[in-house]
Amino acid sequence: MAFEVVIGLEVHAQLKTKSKAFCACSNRFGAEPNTNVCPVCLGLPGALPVLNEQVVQMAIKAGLALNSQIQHRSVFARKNYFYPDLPKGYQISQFDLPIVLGGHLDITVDDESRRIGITRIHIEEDAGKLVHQGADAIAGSDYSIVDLNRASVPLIEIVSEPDIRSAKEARIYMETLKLILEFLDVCDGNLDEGSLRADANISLRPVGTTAFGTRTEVKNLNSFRSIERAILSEIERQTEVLNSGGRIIQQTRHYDDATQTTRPLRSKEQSHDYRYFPEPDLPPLVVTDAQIQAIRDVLPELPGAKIDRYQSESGLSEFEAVVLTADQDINAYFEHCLSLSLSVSARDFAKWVVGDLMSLVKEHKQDFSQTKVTPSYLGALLGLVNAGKLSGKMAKEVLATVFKTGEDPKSVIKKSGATQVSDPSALRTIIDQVLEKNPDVLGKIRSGKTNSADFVIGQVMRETRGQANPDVVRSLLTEIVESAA
Amino acid sequence: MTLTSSDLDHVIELARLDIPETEKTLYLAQLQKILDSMAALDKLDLSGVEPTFSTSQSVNLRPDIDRVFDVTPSEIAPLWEENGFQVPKILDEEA
Amino acid sequence: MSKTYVQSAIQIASQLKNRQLTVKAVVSQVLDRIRIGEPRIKAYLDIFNDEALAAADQVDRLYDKGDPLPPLAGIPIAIKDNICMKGKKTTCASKILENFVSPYDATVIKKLAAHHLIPVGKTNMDEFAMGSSTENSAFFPTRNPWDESCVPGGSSGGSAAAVAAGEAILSIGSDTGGSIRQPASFCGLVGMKPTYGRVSRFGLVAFASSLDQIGPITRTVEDSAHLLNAICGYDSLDATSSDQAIPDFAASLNNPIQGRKVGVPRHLFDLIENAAIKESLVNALDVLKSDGVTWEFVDINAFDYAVATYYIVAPAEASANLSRFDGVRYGHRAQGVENLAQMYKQTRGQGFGPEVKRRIILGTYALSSGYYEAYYLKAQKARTLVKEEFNHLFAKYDAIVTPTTPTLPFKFGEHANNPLAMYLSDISTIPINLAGLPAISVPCGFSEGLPMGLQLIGKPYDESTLLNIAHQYQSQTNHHLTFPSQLEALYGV
Repeated sequence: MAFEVVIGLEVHAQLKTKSKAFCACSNRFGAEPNTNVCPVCLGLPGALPVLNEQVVQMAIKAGLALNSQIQHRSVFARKNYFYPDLPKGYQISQFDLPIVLGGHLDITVDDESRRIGITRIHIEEDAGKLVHQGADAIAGSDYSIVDLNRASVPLIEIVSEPDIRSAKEARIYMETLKLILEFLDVCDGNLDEGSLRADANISLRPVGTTAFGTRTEVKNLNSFRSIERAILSEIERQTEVLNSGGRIIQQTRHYDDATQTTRPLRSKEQSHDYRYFPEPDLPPLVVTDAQIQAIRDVLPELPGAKIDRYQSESGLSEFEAVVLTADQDINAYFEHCLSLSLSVSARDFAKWVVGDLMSLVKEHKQDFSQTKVTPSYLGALLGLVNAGKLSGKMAKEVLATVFKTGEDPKSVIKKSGATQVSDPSALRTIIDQVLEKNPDVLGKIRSGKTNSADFVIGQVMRETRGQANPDVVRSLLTEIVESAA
Repeated sequence: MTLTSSDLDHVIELARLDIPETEKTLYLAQLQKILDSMAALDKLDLSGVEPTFSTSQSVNLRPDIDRVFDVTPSEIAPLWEENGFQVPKILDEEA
Repeated sequence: MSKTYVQSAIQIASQLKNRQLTVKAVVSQVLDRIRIGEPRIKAYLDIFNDEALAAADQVDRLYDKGDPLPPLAGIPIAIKDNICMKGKKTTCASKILENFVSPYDATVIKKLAAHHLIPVGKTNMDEFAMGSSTENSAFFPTRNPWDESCVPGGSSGGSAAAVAAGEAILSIGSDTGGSIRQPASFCGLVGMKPTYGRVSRFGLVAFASSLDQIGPITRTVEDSAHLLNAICGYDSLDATSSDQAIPDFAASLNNPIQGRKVGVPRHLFDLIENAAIKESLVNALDVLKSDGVTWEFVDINAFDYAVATYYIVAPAEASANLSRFDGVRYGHRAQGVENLAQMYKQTRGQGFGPEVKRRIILGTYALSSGYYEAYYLKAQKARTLVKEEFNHLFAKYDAIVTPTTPTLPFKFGEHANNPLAMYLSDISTIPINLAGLPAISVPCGFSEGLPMGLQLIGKPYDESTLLNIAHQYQSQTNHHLTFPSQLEALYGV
């Protein structure tokens, strides 16, 4: 039987705040274990949570970017369960009244636009980290060590509608979401550090039917590759079960990147009663229209809008526009270039950023936040090209040197003596010398032999070791030919 | 509502408590008596009444400023190893 | 030296100010009382002998310098053991926290330090403040200084007994359903539960977060007003903390109360079987009447269903609040376990006493799938009615007056196998926490040698009116000036 795949994603994004969600501990990745902790995030007796206002701002930003409705009143709830990485025995989350409802995200799959519905976005706190001793995973380990640096780090959980129809769509949805959150400056998008994590709800149904099949929830999708592979593997598994007449059991499954398969988690069925109730330590969160508007007013331009603007206002090709918004580093670099208010056009910048500079960056496995070719250096270089003081070929060589050394392009040019000669009087002297040595060449040019003109220009270039500006030489030569007629 | 012994076992499990079998009967009887007294609420007309989860009228938020706290977790930990709280073998994978 | 233990804190402070008394002498005398009285009263779980004397020296130096000091500087104070003090054990009278040393100070402790009050020890209580007799302490029961065969009330029984026995001049308790007012009443003292949000809960080990408030237990209303001045105020560490303006509670104590109107809940009055308690209330109303206060019976049903409401809401919140005691990060951890599941259950099984377990079970049940609407949500709706009934009355009355307790202090073990009977002993005090209101209990007489208390309930944030009326009442009565005679003999005075 042919099945249609139905996927909904729950994406947890760590917010890029300075401090944690409910206490003033640093929200910094990579500290020594259990050093970013305090009475609140350790869950000490008597400690109380107080919500970080920046968390609210960021959740609203995300909601506005995803075309959602920001709720004027939302309520925090306690989600009760016991686990060693959860210090209070409950997670502070939002349940029936989240801060954001509705919305959508448009993604492009195989040149087609697809609209994925957003169900809700809610604020919650992260749990700590468990390190299992004696084995790679819980299974087989003798005991575990708890690190609470991550406990109470702020998260937003973005829940999609079950509108995703393939593993590839799921990956693209996640990539698009990541880019938006990065542009909003609410999440650093660092999947390696767990800043963005997804759980996928996956089910199958016979093509042409509308009722949902029984779903499984696959957890631990922490890279774009694993999202796609885990979903593919789970689709394959469910297809096999259904085709062999079996039934899908609703369960939570864990994706193992090493084997590229999912397996059910070991758990007790009865532990699924979270006993949500409103968190009495936190009053309901109230957001006014004025606050929402203030955030809307300063909302940064998002990738989709930028792609349109680069094409319509700056005359970039679609390819250039897409490449220049593909990640935050390259876009920040390009926007920095544009902000320099030099005589260099956006198109020229785009050509070089997407072309030669990108090749160098990729070749050296860097990103655009690291390159030694600062936007001002690139601007200076392209300014010289525009002013005719440097040929394109020379510019490429200078660019490569600057990329390597981080030296000012002007001093690189000075050292190599690589300035282009565009001074007409200096060039006229050289042209005259060439014509003197080749007395018959003027006549040949006049009789229409373009080869002869190229010969003269070539000779001038040789005399100047390539530094003559060929355009200036050509126009001077035309002048001579016409005046002598 | 009648509290059955399987209800009691379920709740004890949820709350991660350990109650000896011999004491369960007593707990069951005491809890049933308390639950029966909740009938006082059934006499109230609560239609259209909004719940009061808190009488606090505050809307206090915290500025996003980070600081370091003078707390040494190893000093309060029952079992400390390699900069962390040690916990015994976990059988239940799902939180 | 005069008997400091029957003097109020303010009387002692005036002698400290003019240097007739030194802080060291006051603290030493209190520590002496503790030494002599404790074997019988057992009010304390921990005593800070050396630190208190050292702190006394420091405050004496400040007095000697002649700098202006806060009104209660140098007064010894006892702290309920569910309030965190840095470097001190905070046990909540529970085995699960028996050896837990708090690495931080509660906001209230910082405020007391800023006012130069001197903590002399941590007081006994019902485990995690769950109880009305202090019999639920995991360590030992505290005895009522007026009659050692009776309970001191609870859950702040140790705090009340300490002051009543002269083992502290002031104390701090916490009140979730009457835990300050009922022991104050049982021990012949003043006890006040402020409006929810007045005093920061940061560092108060939570029992029921939406009901808990810290408050004073003192000999006089005037002392309570000053102590409340010291401890209340907005706290950025407690999101439920109120930013309402704070008056000087001591400033209005002597305002005339002529023309004030109070209501007396008729049905509650009728429910009370103890004639002496009824009589003491009527007598108290007569005293107020002589000051120009008018009173009348009012109809309010909240007292009929508040106990049922409370015993859903409080255990539900408690069931989550007590989840953090899991043996992972601090406190007791069961030994010899094979896995995490066993560790959780045995740690909590060994660490919690029967009443705490009972309430965790009750609260977990009320929140569990299928029962949330029937119990928890229904109770929170009933709570709205409690609040509305009181609001309605406050449109007409300045305060509502009730006996603080329906019975005299009871004997040890009297309610041992009947938790429900114990719960009903808080019938007068429970609705006030549900509605978030302020209330004060003042001594209003003795029966069979045991104290009785009068409860005044006020509008939100209107502690001033309660303190004003209560102070005027106390100015005309002397119930608060008597001292348990068997202790006078014991102390040899």
